[in-house]
Amino acid sequence: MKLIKIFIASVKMVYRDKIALFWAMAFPLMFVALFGLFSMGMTANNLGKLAYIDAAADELSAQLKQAVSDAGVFTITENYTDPDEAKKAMRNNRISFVLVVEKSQTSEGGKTVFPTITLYTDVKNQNINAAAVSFFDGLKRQFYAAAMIAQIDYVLGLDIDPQARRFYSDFRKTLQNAMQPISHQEGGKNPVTYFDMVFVGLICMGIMNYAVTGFAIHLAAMREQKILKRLLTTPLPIRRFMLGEILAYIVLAFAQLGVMLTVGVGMFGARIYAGWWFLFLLVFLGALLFLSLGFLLAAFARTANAASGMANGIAIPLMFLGGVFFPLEVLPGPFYQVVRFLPLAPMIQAMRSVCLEGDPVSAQLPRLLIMLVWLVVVAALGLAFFRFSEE
Amino acid sequence: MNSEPAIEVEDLVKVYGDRRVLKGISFQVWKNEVFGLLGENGAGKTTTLEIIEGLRTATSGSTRVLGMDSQNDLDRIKDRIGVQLQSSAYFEHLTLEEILDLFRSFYGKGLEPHELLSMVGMEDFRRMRVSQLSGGLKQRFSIVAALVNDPEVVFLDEPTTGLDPVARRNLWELVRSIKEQGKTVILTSHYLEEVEALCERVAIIKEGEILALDTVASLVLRQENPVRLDFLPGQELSGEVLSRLSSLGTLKESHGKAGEYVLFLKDLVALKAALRELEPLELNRIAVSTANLEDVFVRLTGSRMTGEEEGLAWRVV
Repeated sequence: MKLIKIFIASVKMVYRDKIALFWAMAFPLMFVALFGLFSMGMTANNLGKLAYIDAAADELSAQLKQAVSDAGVFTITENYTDPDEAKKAMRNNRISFVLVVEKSQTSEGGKTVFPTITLYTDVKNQNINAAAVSFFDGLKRQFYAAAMIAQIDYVLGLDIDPQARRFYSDFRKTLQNAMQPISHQEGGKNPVTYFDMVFVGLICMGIMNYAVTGFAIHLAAMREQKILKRLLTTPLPIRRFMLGEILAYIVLAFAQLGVMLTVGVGMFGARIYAGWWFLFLLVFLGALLFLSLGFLLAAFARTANAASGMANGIAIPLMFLGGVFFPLEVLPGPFYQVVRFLPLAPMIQAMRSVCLEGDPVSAQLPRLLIMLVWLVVVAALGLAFFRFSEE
Repeated sequence: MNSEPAIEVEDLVKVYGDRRVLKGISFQVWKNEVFGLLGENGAGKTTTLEIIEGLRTATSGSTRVLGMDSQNDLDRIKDRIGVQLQSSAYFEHLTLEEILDLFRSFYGKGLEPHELLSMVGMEDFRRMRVSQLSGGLKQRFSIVAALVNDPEVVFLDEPTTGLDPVARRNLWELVRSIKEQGKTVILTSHYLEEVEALCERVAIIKEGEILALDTVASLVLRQENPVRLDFLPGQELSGEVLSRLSSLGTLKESHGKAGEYVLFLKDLVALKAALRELEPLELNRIAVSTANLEDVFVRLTGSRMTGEEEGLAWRVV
């Protein structure tokens, strides 16, 4: 009965504290919206706008255009006829590539010869230029192979020596094999975009930020205003009060998760493939861990302002070293071996492994253990150092 | 007066590091009494209260509330006392009603929020937050919150500090009404007029020691020179006159008012003699009164209170 009253009062306090609520709800959502919009801007597998200038205008160049268009790698525009004009547009970022297709110099006697193609790229787009060059490289090889197969077919249609026929048909098979694209698959079971990966990181960051910052400031303020001391003069065991508060903050963490999922998954199409129950478990465990970290910080902060500074001083490095915005595995080995033991890292890594890549939960036990050890150590230190009044 | 003690304090000592904050304090507070601890900031008033309330532990000595030991029986004591802490706030995001309801739930018995708020005429504020209240109403609420369990003993730590005189007098009414409900009140203050107006008995504390403990009237009357004569001469007094006046009692120069003197006298005979001395002089002002608590306080502690009581301050000639 008492606990329910405390719980309800705590939920009210948290809900009415608009500044804290902003940090809990709006702040992580801003990141979700930012990364969500960013990811919508670049459709998967598209390298950008390509100005196609067809100066050859023959059968092969028409086939080439069709092949580029079918590949779906570029958004093709034919608004440009002058290469210099197109290159100028590229420098002004209106298009990403200029492709000029010309009749080959070696063309002779009316026979169709593969045209010369020149790709102009923008020096600013280093990240996609190599991909575009290798795409056209491969396309050109395919065209040559196709032309050779056509010539072989012509020869095979003639009355030739059986031994030569066997040679040509074997050669044709080899060429056809060479034309097969290599089989290509993503490493994991599920297609995971950068936004999916960041979204999981942002869920964990939101839980951490609110639990550490919100709870530390709240507790320090209550002690600074002598509310905790006032509670000590009542028969209520102060632990019961803290329990009600912690329950309220955990409920709020789940409310925050609900809002994040609604916006991230509902509006921006972030994907969670598996392990919903594991996601909830991680949020619960993470909320407990970061609430106890907030409790520990409040033990050393004399005022609410000091608590705010300390909490940010801890939360911001944890945010970057926890791998919210990039997979931690890209860090150099020794550095990674340290960073992966920080409190936020195992939460994010475990959630990505199970919920995005579909790994089994059993493989996450070491990470859960890291979180549990942090929880026990931090909570014990908090209980040892936290003072409800001056004495 | 009921002679059953509500609070018993025996030889209380509190040491912080090498600082002796309380040097062996003993007193008793009778049931249904308003008892005052008077002293300057840092004298040890709050420490004393908080040891009795169980918020701090004594280095040595004992405190008992309603016959129960503050150390061993704290849980039972907490049920029966109400505490208003010095400059303590309440949850900033809850309404007055919600705060009282929450605190009420901590106790086995008590009063409903509307009963408490109507008791002090604050019903209209029940949906407000503490931060929306004026200083006087804030203090009033903080006292009402201490009554939520209908306590037998009420602790008020500097209940009117920082308030304007009107708000202060309003709170005095509240304290009197608490006494009328049959409760015992122990309060600390550094306002002499407050202690004089509210308390039946007062203990004057300085640097962790009780210098005097009695009813206000006895403290004043027990003085060597309980009659007080204030006068403001029209011209400067000659050394001869001053020395004759000094020989009648204790002559001091008023601190607050330039040129004014205060003469403390033993009895009416001395007063008449003093008036005869003053008769030939041109006087702009003259007043005869009984010495007050301030005079007692200054004589005992050798220092004035913090100058907030206009006209009561003076210094030794």
